[in-house]
Amino acid sequence: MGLTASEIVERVRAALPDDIIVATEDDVAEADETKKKAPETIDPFVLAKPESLRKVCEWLCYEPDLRFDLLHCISNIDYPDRNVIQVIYHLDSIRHKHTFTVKVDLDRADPKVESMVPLWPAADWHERESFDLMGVIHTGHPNLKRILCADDWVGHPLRKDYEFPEEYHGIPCGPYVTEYANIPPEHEVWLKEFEAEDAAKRGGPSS
Amino acid sequence: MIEAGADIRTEEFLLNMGPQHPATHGVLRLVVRTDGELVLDCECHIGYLHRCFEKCAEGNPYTSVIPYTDRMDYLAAMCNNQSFSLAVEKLAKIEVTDRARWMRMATVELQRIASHLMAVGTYGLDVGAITAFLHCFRERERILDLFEEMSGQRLNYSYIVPGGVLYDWPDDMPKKIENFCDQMEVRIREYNDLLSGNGIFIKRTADIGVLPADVAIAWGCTGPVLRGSGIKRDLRKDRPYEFYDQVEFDVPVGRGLHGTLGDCWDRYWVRVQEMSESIKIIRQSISKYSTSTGKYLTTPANKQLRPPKGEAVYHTTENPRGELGYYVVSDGEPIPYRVKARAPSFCNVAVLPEISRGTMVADLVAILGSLDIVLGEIDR
Repeated sequence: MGLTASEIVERVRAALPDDIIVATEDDVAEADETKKKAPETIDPFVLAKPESLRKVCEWLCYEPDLRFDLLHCISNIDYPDRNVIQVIYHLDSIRHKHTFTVKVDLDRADPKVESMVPLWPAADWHERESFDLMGVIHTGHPNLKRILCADDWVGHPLRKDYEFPEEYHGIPCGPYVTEYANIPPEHEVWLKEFEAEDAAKRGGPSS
Repeated sequence: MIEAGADIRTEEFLLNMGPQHPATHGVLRLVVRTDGELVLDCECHIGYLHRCFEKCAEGNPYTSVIPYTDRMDYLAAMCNNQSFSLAVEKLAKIEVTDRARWMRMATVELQRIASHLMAVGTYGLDVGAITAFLHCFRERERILDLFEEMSGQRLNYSYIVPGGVLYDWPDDMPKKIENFCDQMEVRIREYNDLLSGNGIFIKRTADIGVLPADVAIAWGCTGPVLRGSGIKRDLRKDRPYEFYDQVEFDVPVGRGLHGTLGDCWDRYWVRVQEMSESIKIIRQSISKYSTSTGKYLTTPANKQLRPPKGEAVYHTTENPRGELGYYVVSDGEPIPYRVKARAPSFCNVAVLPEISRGTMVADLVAILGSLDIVLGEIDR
């Protein structure tokens, strides 16, 4: 096994002190709170400044004893209350067998960040998906267009304030809310009896 | 690979393969720029099965997301269930008993065999060998019968849930699985006679679609596609989850036996060998299962889970098609704040244009088959 995530955080802090935000107030509170509860479940990460994300990633990619050669995934989260869209890069090293997470906070009104395609070609589709579903503009991407939704789709579905369209080219769509969600009461009684009987027979947990 | 000669250049032609094309394994559309029989470039158009799993997951309790994960990679539904359950268990700190873990490992490895049988069988079909497909499906059917007995379902199981598995095994299940393993070992030799050593099959697949190791890593390929290029990387060995650190198995990698390292035959051969390794794991899991104790499920499957606020977990597991990752974020509510799935096929198919340039149109089908993609997972 290679380095642990905390060791890598220390390395990044020592090498690129000006390019990372140690943590915003929210993150300090959040990380501290969760670390007290369970230090092992929250993976340590680095929050990069948006303008120097490329520099941080390049350093992580080419530093000989880190060598993050595999871009595993690009995730993104919408935080409307903080007015932030967070883009998360999950990195992996095949040579050293360690993983790391780099996050970047973008302005929700104008989420722009540099494309990572020159570093990892794998970023191509991930960034197109990020643009399609969350509306993040990855500047410098060679072919930034929608990948999963139709080309003429309006809006970015994974935003928390996304409103479903009533129809698409005459096809009705929108949130699927119907009366099917209501289980008839007699069915529920039957289900409970069945479950109790089943649990007694098997010796499993009773619900 | 055939070089496009400057003197025989003919008119370029745009060829549409799919979305309704049997060789694209689902609804994948390839726009191929051809020069005669040569592929100059190809572009993948995906999204025909898009239903935004990630948005659906934001509106459902944690346990209700499990059936959505079935429908991502519907040929390896157990592995998807397991991956999501492990992420939620890590997030909500749910304990799983030893007995349930051994049950999970045996079912997941059975699922891996079923998935590889499908991959191997349909790959034969892609390049014109129909017999092997029927043989593979016969064994896959037997695995589905076992799964039906365990979970009541034949394709979308929702069997592995946070806290264990949904139902206990019948008493004779270990015996039945062992019987299956005995037969499967004979059958794998049969597939090798039928397909792996078949001269026509080797001619159609060796030296075709060569994927060098550095290209595979750069494009984020994982699973048998990466191992076919000679890279020994398997999350079951490198970052063991469940009890994979307690069982013995090998990680087969491509060696370029019939041509160049990283060709279609190598990727196919890795899958065949992985079936034998899975049998080893199943045998060990079954023997450990028989001696272990504990409940099969520690929390009721319909219990509302409320993981603590702000915790984010990125959990990766080794699926039959590559590394599946789930990124789950909780805000303290009973429904997840955000779920992101890293689908292995999504990354594997992205490399297709890179390795298909300069090949024949007929070879494009062979290359696509060797990547073994499932569109339900690509489009999510």
